Amino acid sequence: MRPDAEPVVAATGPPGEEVGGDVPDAEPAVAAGDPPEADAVGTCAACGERLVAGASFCEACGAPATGPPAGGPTAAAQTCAACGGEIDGDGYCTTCGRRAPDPVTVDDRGALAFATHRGRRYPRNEDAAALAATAEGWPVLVVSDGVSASPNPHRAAAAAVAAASAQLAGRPFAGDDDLVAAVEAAHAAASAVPAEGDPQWAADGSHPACTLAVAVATPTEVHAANVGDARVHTLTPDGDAWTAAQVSTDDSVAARAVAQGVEVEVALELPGGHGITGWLGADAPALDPHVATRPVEPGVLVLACSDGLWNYAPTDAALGDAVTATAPPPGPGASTATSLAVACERLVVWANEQGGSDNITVALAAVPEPAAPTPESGPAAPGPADPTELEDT
Amino acid sequence: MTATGPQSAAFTAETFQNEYLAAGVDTVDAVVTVSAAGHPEEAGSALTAATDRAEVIIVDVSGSMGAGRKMAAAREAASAAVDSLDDGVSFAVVAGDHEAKLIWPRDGRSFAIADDDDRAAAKAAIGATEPAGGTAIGTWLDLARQLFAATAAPARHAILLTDGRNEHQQPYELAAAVAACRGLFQCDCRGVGVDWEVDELRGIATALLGTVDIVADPGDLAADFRAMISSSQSRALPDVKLRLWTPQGAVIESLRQVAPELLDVTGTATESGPLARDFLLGGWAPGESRDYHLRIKVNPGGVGDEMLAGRVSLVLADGTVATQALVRAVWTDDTAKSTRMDRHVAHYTGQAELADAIHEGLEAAKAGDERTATVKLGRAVQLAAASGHGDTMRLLAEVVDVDDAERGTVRLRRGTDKAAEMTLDTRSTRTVRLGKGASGDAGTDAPASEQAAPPAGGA
Repeated sequence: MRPDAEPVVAATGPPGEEVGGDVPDAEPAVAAGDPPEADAVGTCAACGERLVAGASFCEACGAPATGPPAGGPTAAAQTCAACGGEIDGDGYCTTCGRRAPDPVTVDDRGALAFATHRGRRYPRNEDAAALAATAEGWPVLVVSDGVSASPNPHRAAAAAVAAASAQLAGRPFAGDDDLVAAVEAAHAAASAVPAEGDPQWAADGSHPACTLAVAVATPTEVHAANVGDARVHTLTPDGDAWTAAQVSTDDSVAARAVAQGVEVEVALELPGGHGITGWLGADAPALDPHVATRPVEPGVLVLACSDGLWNYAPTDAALGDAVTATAPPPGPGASTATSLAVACERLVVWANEQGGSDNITVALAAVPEPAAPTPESGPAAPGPADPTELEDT
Repeated sequence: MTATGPQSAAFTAETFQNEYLAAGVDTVDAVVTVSAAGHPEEAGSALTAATDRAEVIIVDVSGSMGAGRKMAAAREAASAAVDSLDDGVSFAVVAGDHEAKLIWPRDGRSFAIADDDDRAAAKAAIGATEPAGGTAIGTWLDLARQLFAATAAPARHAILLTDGRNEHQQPYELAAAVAACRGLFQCDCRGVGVDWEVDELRGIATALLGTVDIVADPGDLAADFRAMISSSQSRALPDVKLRLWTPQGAVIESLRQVAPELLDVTGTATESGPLARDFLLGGWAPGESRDYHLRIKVNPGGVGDEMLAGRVSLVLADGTVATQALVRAVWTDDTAKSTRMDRHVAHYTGQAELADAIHEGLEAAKAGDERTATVKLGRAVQLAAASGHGDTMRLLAEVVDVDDAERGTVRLRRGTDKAAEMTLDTRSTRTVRLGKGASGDAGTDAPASEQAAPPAGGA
């Protein structure tokens, strides 16, 4: 077993009401400006006990859960990760001088979550993500990556995820046409973002642009749509490892080469291999989203991510290894469970450890249980652990 | 150290650096420009009144002063200084030879208070001095120190005039006297004639946060003394300190004032916290601006890491932190970023080399090593020309014949005037600033501001 990595619990009961109940229609991700080392879960302000993700009250003392609110950016202590020193108002350690890392922004809604971070090279986070639930309570993941060679890419990405999730949130999900409608809404929203006012961009006549990946998980299928190179994968537990399978199709120079028989690793090294051939925005080519469906069952996870993650795990095998290494699936040997939010955060941390050359966004959702006449709380995933138990980050 | 305290607009500080370092590089260079507000009273900072100021005028009355018209000029200059004092300023006049004598006031007080009567009486006492005896500058400073110890005036300044070496005292005695005065008062030093020692007087002025200059022509003394008093009285902000925080394990390799003149203050720090050092800067005049070159050695981080290598704070006499500037280090594998040199750092590195070249060239010439002297002074000409340092260029041209300034080709002059050499030596530490519009890699500053901006949100 891996002593340093905890298994991932696939779901926390029927997500239908629970998720649908407290998920706003759409909430674009923002890179929070302050606290580092965010605890994805939080502790009770009254008794210090760890809080269950999404809980309104502390299970130990009953006090209202005033800690990091479920579904919001999380707070954290201001101490230096390197030496334990105090962090000053400028974000530096008062002892060793290290800059406190920008916090990973985590949105934790139990059976669906995302984490996003600016990475280690870019001065700002131009990715965005949103979580939602359909009328059936099925999880919706939306991830967008602003094109850094365009003005206001962060605003385009935020507008795109907000529009796409709003299109799907709270409505009955009828399949691929709904996904295409979400992509079209995102395209319209991104196209409406002005090019002016970007402090990091001198006006050159180009328009804000972004990629998009949208996924909806029903109890039996994953539906995915994408434009550009944001990806959707399924993660299927296989013993103590995850098996990853890409559902989306990249609009990229490399993907075209792969389609013609070039190996993935070779294709990504091609000149301009990372260049995208499709995007959203006012100067985008004719909108032609890839739409795909895969059969799944409860226990499977759906992952949506920006290339800040998959650049370091470009193949299904590499991605499966990365997820297994950071958050293995629940199994017979697993004693503690890991929430999806913690798994997302760990993958962001992992991508930063690989170099963090781009903004990183990772979203995860559990394939929901088929709707039961009376939804019951309780573990939906195999394994001995209480799936709602959360561990320290 | 985290709290910056109430911020006063009396000072501003700005950092110029290339914070990008290649992997493994541990040395961080930065130039910090500190400027006092033009009207600090408007910024709410207290100004010193005349009654808050104390002046001691120290005049050499040793036997050598009797040569030529040095003594007459010195009396004239000291009288001009007395005349320049504002009403209400505490002042004393010290006559120095192999010992120090308080010639005004003579009623047992340490200081007279300037008014018309006292000024007239002091000038009469100055007029009565006669040259005799030796030179023991340490004793003059000892007396000044005792006088200043008796006043509560926060702004304390002395003028020291000599024409000779500290001949009647051991070097260690002078060093001890200077050390005892440090932080108690500021002292501007002047050498008249050509028989004094540039290094000796510069040592005193540097330690006591003052200026040093040669007044080769005694006739110019009075105007110079008036200017010193006027400049001293304009220093409305007394006892400013530069506080430098560095991270644990870091070493302050050097901290030098680089403008308006070179002043190495590295070794003068006192500890003000576990990781903080205080450097005395003396008094500041409204609108005054000085540049400091810091070199800090840190434990290097990994590629992508960012570290605060230094935090520069200006601390006023009452302990208020007036302003702060950050010196950062960011390790990168992008050589396009890490190989650039900030133009301010480059400029002042050149100015320091210019001062060194002049000093070494003159030393070599004195020792008869013409080859070294020619090379060093040639290099000085080259650096002065490249940085547009017109004043130093003119002084160099008094000492060498310049064939090609750009290449640094010079010939030593035969029978050079000693006053010209001493003037060049004394003023070699004066620097020119980099003009705002000067050519160079202006883009170097851009990443600094980019890095300073907080990471923008995704929305």
